[in-house]
Amino acid sequence: MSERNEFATSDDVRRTIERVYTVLSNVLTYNRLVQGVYFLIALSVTLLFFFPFYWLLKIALTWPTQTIYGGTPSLAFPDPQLFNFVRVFYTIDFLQFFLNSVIITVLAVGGTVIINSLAGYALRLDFYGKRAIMLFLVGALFVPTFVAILPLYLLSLKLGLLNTYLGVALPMMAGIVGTFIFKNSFEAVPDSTLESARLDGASELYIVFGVLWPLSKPAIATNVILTFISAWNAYLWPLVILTDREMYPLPLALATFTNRFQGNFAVAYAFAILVLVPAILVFILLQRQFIGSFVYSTLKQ
Amino acid sequence: MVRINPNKWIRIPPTIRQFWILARDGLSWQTVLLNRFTITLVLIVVITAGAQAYITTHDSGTITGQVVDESGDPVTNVTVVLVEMGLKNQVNRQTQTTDSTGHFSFPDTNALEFRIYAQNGELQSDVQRIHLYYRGQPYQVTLVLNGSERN
Repeated sequence: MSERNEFATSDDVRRTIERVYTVLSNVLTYNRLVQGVYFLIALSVTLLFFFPFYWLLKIALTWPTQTIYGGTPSLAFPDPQLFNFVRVFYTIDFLQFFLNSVIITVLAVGGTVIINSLAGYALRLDFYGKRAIMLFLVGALFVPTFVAILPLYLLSLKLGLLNTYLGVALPMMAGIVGTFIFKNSFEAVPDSTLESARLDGASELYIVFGVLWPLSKPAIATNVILTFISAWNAYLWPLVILTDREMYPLPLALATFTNRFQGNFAVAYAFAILVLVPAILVFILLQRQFIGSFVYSTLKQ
Repeated sequence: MVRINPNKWIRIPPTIRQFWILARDGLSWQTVLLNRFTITLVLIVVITAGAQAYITTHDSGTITGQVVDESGDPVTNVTVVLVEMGLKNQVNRQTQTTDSTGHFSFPDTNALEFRIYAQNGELQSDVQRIHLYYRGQPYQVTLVLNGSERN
């Protein structure tokens, strides 16, 4: 047997390396291709979702508004102007409506993080009937909000909360989804941590707000964002409970404005953008924690 | 450092005492002031206050301008019409006459959006449609009496 057959020559090594390199590069090229296709699909879906907002912004920045109706529709911004936003400020008392929305939202968000975290902590503990309560809460998720409007109205009437900011915010101060988010987050904290806190003399309230809260920032952020969006965009409940137009939050003011100035799309769109901006700002500020909560939930599963 | 101990006078429940300790030890001025929420809020307040201060100091509401002919020479004794526009229709109409240098001035107007044009007998300038950024914003405009026939 020749020496050539027993030992690999430098040519064999080179050929083997080349073969491995070819296979690897093919795999990598294929992966890149797949990634590229995924990226294109994701980009298309993103653009599809983004398009209505883009169109809203484009119309809101168009002045004179008559130019919307004439000529060929274009995706470009030929001459963007902020005049429609200026018109909104001078046509209605925007700051008053903005302040109403801020008060209602702050009350709702403040209430929801406290009440939901207390409820979440209660559901973390073991007690008789816990399962029944959990089933009741999950079942209550299937009940549409509109069904509860009448009982809520009667309750607010009895409490003397009609036409008050607290009356608008009170039903938003507790939510089943938010409670479960807190419950799941609190359950991730080991019992030994809570036992240590109890041994150090911590009260139950201190355990919730001093021990569990700092460890559940994503849950707090998720609760804040979800409640903020629902309270900021609330339309039906404030419409039912508020009779004084001066106390209307922004979505109601937008509806009134649109009815009053029918046909002025550009100004109405500018108003809609002004309503949207705070919600987007809050989302951006809490984005890290919000996405963190999703990542955490995925890892947990 | 002298520390006030309220427990000397009244009996504070342990829960409240624990929250006081939590707030005292957990919150520092750095954590309260140097976070993105406070910074965003401060930025919004500063920009709004700055814009409001600028508007307050620049709200004469005077709309001035000059009427010139096609060669750029000032035209005297021309009527300039300013029509204030609302969101639905026109709300006010004012007129002024140009002086010997072709200048005109509408003092103390409260217009936000207006149309302005000059007319001299059968001649009229193009109608300029102008929107201001705030009520009372001073504005300067040049109208060219280009010989187009009056509407």
